[in-house]
Amino acid sequence: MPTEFESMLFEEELASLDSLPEARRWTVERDKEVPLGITALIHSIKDPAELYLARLRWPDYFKPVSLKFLSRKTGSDTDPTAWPIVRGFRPTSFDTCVSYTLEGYTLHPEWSNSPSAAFPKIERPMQYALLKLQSEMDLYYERRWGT
Amino acid sequence: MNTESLIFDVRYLGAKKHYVDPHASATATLAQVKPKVLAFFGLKETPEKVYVFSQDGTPITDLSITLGQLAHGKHELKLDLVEQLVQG
Repeated sequence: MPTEFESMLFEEELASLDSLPEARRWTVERDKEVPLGITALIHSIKDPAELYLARLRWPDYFKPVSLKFLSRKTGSDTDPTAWPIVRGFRPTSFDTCVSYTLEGYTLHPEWSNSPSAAFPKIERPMQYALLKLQSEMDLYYERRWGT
Repeated sequence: MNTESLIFDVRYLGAKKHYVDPHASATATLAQVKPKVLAFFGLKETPEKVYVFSQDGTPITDLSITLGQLAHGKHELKLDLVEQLVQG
């Protein structure tokens, strides 16, 4: 269970997301299955018509977020065609190998003690995760997996 | 055409507050302002850990560019500060 502070910060961030200029590009909803989770309908600036449903869950709000992409039809988190091809994303493994996700640090435990890859101390975990994801989508997006 | 000063606003992705200099010199380069910005956010660069400015999502690699050049004649310049990502 999250601490009271984590829950408070999560709610505060969720309520104030609209203050971010990038938020106009997202549809963010609470993930009701976990205490600290959201889904975000996002797209790359390179292909605005191709929408992806990202699920972000924080087992610990100040640690890397778990990132999965869900099928917009079925909600499945094991559908590779729900995934964008972006650097570090592994659609057929349903995970991401990057230094801002839980899955990345699970695949590379040594990153936690690495000067270059250790997760930073952050004050706004939701903002950080969404902006990082959006930035990666905009800069390194190729196409939907399987197309 | 640079104005003499501008509002320089930097957002670090995970931080609550922005770095704001309401009277930044338009002729200052990114290399000149970067140490102040890093210090504000309590960050330290090392050979392994590098932070870059980005504008509208695009990383800026040329640190010799001035704030005025980036502002394109406007009186306010907004940038992001992001750390280099590692991928497996």
